[in-house]
Amino acid sequence: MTQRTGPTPPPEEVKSCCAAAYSSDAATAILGGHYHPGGTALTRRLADRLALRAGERVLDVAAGPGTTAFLLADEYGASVDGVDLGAATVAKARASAEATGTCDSVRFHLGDAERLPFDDAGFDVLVCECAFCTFPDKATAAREFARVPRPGGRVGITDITLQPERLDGRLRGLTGWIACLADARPVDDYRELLADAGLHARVVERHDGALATMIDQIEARLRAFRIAHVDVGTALELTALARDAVARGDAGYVLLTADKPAP
Amino acid sequence: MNLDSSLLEILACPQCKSPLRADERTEELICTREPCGLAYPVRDDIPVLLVDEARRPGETRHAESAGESPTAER
Repeated sequence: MTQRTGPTPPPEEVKSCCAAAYSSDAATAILGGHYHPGGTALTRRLADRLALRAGERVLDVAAGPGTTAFLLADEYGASVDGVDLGAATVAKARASAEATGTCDSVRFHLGDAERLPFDDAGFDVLVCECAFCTFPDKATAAREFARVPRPGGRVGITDITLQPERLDGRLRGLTGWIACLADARPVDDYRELLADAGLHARVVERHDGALATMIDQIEARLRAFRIAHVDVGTALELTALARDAVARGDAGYVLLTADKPAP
Repeated sequence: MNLDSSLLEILACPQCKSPLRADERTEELICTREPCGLAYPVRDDIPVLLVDEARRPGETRHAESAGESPTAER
């Protein structure tokens, strides 16, 4: 496992900060409703790579406002449970399900990825978009990812990749809204974490362009709007650093699927 | 407490992964396994399935200790 260097905020702080940040109005304004690189197009690609079928039970970990969960239910006919650490986020996602009359196919719960509040082997598929990198105890989270799918089930992750030792110190602090970057890892680390938990990697696709595009969009929004509680100068400095990191290949985005072996 | 009955079929105690039961009186979901027995509050119909916010068996509920019951008001 790669050793991180330099000061980083306490892990629990990063996780709860991320959950809180994602539910904030500032995050909504900056991200424009797209909470992960690649947007819904990459979510569809993930579902296709997982060969998701109608009627399958899906757990969406760190479901946020439910974008992924609603898409998988609506377009793939899946029965989706979403779990998120933010109470306000869960309430908002539930309200969306009620407003759209989709409560039967999409449900949202308050819980922690490292201690999932679900029975063993209760799902066909587990997905987690742009959140695994924020979990302080990734090995424990990976074991939970291996526990809740049935034997023969699948796990699909899209996430930020990073060569942590090359990361600029300014990207690490909690002052940047890109706190999620602080504990992102290289692709091989993610694969190793899943393998150690007993999951066999099947698909590994790089989608670094999706991250570059998202950084461009964020920067455009930062320049166009004055957003409450955001120091635009600092934020622009951070987006520039992030863009450099992507260009150098030190930061990127990956789509990864893995299988839970059947007995 | 407004909970879908099918919810309890998929949920489990985040600490020990045992089944949960609903306690209508205390508005909690309670782990059915001894000695775990953690009780998870249900706030705005959302079960708070976080170990850090759970009540241990025998511990007073936060609401009671905060003085919600009439006898606590003086």
